[in-house]
Amino acid sequence: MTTSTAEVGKRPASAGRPERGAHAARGRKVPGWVPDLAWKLLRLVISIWAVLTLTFLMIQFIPGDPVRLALGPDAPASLVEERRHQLGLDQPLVAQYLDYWGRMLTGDFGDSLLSQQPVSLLVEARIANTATIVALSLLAISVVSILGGLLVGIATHRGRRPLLGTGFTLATGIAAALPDFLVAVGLVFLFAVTFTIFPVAGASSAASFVLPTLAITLGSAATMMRVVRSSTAVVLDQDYMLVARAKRLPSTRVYLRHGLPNLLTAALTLGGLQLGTVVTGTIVVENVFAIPGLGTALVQALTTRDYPVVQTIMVLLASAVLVLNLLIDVALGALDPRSKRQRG
Amino acid sequence: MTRKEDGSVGPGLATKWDFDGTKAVFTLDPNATCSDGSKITPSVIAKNFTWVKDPKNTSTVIGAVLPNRDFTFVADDAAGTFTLTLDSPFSNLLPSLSFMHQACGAGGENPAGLTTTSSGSGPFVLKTATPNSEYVMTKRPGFPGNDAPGVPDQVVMKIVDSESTAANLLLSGAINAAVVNGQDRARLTAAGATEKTYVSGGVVISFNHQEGRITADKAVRVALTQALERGAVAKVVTQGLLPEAGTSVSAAQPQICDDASAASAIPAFDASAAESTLTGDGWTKGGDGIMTKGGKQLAFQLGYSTATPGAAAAAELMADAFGKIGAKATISPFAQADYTQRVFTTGDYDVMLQQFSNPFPSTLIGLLAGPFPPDGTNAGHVANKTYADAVAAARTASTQDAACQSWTAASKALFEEADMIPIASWPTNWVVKNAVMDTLGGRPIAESVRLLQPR
Repeated sequence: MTTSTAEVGKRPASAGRPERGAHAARGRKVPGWVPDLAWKLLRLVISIWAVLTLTFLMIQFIPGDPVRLALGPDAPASLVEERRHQLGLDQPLVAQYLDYWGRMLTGDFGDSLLSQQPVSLLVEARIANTATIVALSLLAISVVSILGGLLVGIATHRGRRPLLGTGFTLATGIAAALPDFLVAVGLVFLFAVTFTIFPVAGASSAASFVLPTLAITLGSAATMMRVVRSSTAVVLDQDYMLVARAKRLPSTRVYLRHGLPNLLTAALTLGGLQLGTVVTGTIVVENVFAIPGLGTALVQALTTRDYPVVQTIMVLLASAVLVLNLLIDVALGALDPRSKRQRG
Repeated sequence: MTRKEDGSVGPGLATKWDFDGTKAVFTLDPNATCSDGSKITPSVIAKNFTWVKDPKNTSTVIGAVLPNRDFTFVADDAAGTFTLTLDSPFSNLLPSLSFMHQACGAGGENPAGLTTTSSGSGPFVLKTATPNSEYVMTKRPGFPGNDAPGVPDQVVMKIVDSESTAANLLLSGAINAAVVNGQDRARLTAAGATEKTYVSGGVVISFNHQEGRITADKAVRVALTQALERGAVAKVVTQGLLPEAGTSVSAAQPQICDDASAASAIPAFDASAAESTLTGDGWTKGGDGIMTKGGKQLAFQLGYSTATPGAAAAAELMADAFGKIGAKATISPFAQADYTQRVFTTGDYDVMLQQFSNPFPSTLIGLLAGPFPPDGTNAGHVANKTYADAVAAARTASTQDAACQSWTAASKALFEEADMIPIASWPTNWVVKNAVMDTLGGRPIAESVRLLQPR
């Protein structure tokens, strides 16, 4: 018999406070995870409502005249007023807010004030590039940080290989401190201009995504790697690891079967927090690499106060972060029931 | 219509024209065809004007090309003529029309479809469009000259906000031409790229005349102008590309009217004369070195748009120059949308460093002589009767020469009152590698693009 994460999680719930919804589950025979998931979904809905409302208010209160900007300096005042009326921008704020909600709920993101094309078309044309960068970055961050952190953690456990430990701390410290923008510029200079290995900009081929992904991955992976290394040191000192080693199980089985699952709680928790960093990093990096994604569209729309575009992209990006965080939350709950009790 | 390097108008779809100030009769090229192969007739042109005239389309042609919607037109397909009649004289009509594109074929029938396709008479046809990102055009078979050596089969236009990224793309061979005004030029020319600078607009300073603003006082405006060494500011704001002081408020080339002679009316740089202008107006220097009058300090806001490269450094130089004559300028950068609202609607500024790309002096009428907001865009409340009279004369002139004389007089009136002062000409610096092309007004001429080596 081995001691693993699942067994640790099997300790009686009475050791802590009762799980949310436990009483309801007893009375109505509702599975315990249902109220927990419902609570998480409610939190998600409230968060998305807050994001939508804040986005609406933020863009309203930034000074500027998007209609004049769109029509140009030559446009007569009457023409500006006509367009403003067409767009409903002459309506009271409350009416605009209700209209905004009405449109969002029906999936109508409106038309861009500048291009006058449906925002949905703009999103459709760009979302794949942004999703690709985010997905590749998350994958790279996960693989590099978990494997790297685990290996270095094992190699330097209990003060072994001090040079490697110091070098790791120094390198990850520097990598985590470098801003995405600076990393991106450095990568372009080295790998696209000096040695023309990857494209400078654009999203014309798979190779176009290598440098942007690297630029986003470096800092986040370094941060997470340090956490995984620390967690590895803690996990390796646990009794169940001692038992596993005492039973002379193969090293790979000891570390991957018994060590790794116990590391994932910390890695996933931090990974959830890194999601926001990855998404904001994507916005910056897309602009450096002139990638036609949601990040470049957002920056362009912000400078021109193209309300419908800004609102739609903000809502999409924020919702993506919130939904992914929910999934991580659910995964954490399944992986380690203790986290469910602690997180509420 | 098309425009030539010297600013005069040339034939386009119209091969002949007759214009008397209000009525223009255009004779169309009988061989002109659309990209879908259909003939471009006067009726096709009429569809474009119908669309522009319809208020529900809020066409930007109104105001920019045509003065208003009060025009009528008649298309005579049999005679091959299109007649446009304005409600009042407008001397800039012909050059203005060079900016109005004519949709033909399916695009003329359904202009809304032009968001993703093209339907025109030019040498390339739009294949795909990703707004604000990339536009791919393919060579139109059969278009005169398209079989010449070096004419590219495909032209890809990429929107790249960062000049450094554009420069990197040029160096890596991913693109052939880009507009690069800043410090990246050096490494591009070192790598064998060629560059050519075009005047595509101008940089000016505007003074707000609203009651209560410190710049409503003419002596203050004149003194602040005298404090500025405009050539030095020009060098900074154009990042060294066009270091000469500006002479026109509508400098974009090709200029419709050469009004450079009006620049003699700009108060010349002389810091001590600037102080004298202020002291003559009752201003006295306080212990802190700031001029005061009636208990009020000569302090104001100096704004600029953050979308104008070089403006931040120029504003610092200007604030320093103003400080030397006892004027305290607080530098205020504005995001482009905020800037346009202040300049055209709220008038919430004192002194604004502005960058325009207008080839027509008439573009500024709304700002400088029109009604105040909310009825117009004269947000700075400029009321210069000499300027307004000259503008009226220019607009109703029957010949272009007479119109230009009046436009020059109008510019002179602005400078004498220090309402708006030209600082610099605005550059568009094209850097080209492994290709050649000509531009007009800083924009590439499609027919002139040639690749020097296949890519």
